[in-house]
Amino acid sequence: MVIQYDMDLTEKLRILGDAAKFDVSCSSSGVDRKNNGKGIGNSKACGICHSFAADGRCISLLKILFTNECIFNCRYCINRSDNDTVRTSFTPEEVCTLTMQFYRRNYIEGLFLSSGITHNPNYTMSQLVETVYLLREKYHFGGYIHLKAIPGAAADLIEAAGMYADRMSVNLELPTADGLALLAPHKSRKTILTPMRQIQNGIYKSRELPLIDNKTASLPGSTNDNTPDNSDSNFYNNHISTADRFHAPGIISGSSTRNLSTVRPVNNSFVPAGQSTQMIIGATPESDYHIVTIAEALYKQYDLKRVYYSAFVNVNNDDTLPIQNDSSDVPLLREHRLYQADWLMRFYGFKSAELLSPEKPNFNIFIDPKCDWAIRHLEHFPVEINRADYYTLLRVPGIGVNSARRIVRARRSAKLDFNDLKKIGVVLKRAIYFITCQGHMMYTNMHIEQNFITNNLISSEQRKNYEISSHDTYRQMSLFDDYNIKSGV
Amino acid sequence: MNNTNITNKTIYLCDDTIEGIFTAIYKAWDNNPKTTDVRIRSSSSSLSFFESYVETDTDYELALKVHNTIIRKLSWDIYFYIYRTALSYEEERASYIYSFLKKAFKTGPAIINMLHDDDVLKIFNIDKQVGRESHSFLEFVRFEELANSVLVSRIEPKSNIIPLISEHFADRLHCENWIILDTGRNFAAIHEASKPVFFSYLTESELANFSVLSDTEKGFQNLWKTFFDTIAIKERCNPKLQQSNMPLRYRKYMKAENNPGHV
Repeated sequence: MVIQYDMDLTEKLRILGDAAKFDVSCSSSGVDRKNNGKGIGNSKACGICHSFAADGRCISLLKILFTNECIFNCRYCINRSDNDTVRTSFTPEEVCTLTMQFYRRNYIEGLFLSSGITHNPNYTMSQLVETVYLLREKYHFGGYIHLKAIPGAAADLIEAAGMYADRMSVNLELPTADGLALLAPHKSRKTILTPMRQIQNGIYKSRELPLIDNKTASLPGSTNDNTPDNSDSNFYNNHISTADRFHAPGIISGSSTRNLSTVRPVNNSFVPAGQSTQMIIGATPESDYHIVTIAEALYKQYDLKRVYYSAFVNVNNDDTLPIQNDSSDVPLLREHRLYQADWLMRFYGFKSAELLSPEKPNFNIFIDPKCDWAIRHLEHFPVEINRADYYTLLRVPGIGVNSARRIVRARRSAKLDFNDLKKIGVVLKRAIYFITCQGHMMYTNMHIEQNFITNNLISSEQRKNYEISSHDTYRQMSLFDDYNIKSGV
Repeated sequence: MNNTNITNKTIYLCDDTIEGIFTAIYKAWDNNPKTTDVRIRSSSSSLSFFESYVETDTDYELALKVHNTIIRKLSWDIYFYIYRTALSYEEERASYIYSFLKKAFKTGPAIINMLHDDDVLKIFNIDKQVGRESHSFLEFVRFEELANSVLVSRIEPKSNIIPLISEHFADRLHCENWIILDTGRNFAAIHEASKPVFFSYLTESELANFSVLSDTEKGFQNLWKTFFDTIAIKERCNPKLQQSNMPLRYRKYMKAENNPGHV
């Protein structure tokens, strides 16, 4: 491990920005907060992107690692301890300077701070907490903060972090406990799910909701959850007393021995924008069915705001992991399908069991999950545009949240025909096979029959899928095409 | 009164402010809604043989009457649709607003749901387009710090979106002195720390004051460029997607994005 001291700030930013780029979350949404009157910053519930990188992904937050000096050796990670890469760390003040100065210039919406595990989980977490403490209390920063909870860190540090962060996340990393044991031997389901539950309960407590019993914590795919856990947080932490933790070098400079968990929070809410997590897709052999059931369980049992999926990129050229000869081997289409399914579950009222099953464990590469579902359930169609309720409209392929809202709105004053639908911006390409307007389908030669519809849909979808898998015009989906500027649409 | 529709329309010409448009609408309506239209005075529009023209001077009292009537008889929501349409760059926006209002006062507040109606859809779509552009500038405004620590941002929007974004920055950067300048219109939002924003057209000599950067400005611009170039995953490089999310026209004053490094 090459550790370089006195590195200049640009070089640190290059290394620690590069090291953070595989964390997918860029969201700055979920909390509305006015300026605090003392410093800069506020927060918008709709979230604001400030730039788009060369890969087309949005840049909303200054996304960096605090350090890439990592004692863990996760096989998929560029910062694993085995790798011979240049290592460096920010100081809390450096992170504050970058955040404040970038924010003033409207480059960013706030900070996304993650970290490699330096020394031990508690030391690392205390560095992160010190940084956000300085930002909020010394610089009165009112912008967005997304903070990683370090697996295995002590509960009081997580608690303190939650007082300052808008969103927190603990990455599930791999869909199953087996995959985790294989590829991230220093992490375990337990060290990941424990802080996740703690944050959930912290949020519930601040909202005066009943807490969740920790014993119920379990997820599908945890085949070895009952086996003894040799990477328990104690493995790293048992030699550090609680007192030492708060006197760890660097913690809360100048604030003597204050116990972090009693520090007054900036606002009276704990992690007000909720928590998220992320899974790596395609490093281990799970099916799509497996992944969507896990995501569904995370939403239900842990009340997550988002589950992110990250197409595996073999950055270490590790030959025990799937080999990628060039960038077309990165499973982007699969990642895209999982996001589509994720949106169907969160906003369209679909259950994972409606989308996939053990008998049909993977998404169709040719057509999107909603079309796929509709073709297998033609008994629900056609749907009459002028009568169907909102949720029935949402189940029609090609009709999204925006289109459904506009239809419901426009039909209050008139009976709609296909021309009206076009005018108000409903894309008919896929929808025409599944809808009627005033009792008629768009063309007389159309019949609701599986082969007919499938053939017609696939030819139009094929080009798009080719483009996604060959990086041509891959687009992240946007639910509201009006960017949530106003709520009435 | 002539029976043929195309002849003898009276066009009320006005300036490009919402007050100007409302003044012309008031006077045109007062004459006869059926035979009048309103248009923003401009050098590009040609005169027609079948139209006669009436110049109107902006009258704030008349404009206020129109404003109040919209809110009283229709709704605040509808007022904001009209407000954003008035800020758009559509040449015929005054006429669109007039046609919409003629229908709206007949129909009442429910007009807002009549998306199948062309006059309503027009306002709805322009509103959406202006809303999108102003949201884009919440994202893509870039401030530079001057030697006197004032933050200055230059933008070149199609629509006159400065009034729509200034409140956001007044709250966010309330303890800073800042200026956002629309370089196409020389129109600026000016904010002095902890005070309300005001708007003004700037002269060439005033604009010349905004050129001396602070000592650290270049350093932070370079740091941002380093981050911007680093954060992209090269295995996923996708310039088309980048461009559809961040069209080139927005990047004129975004230094890192305008001159990306090699990925």
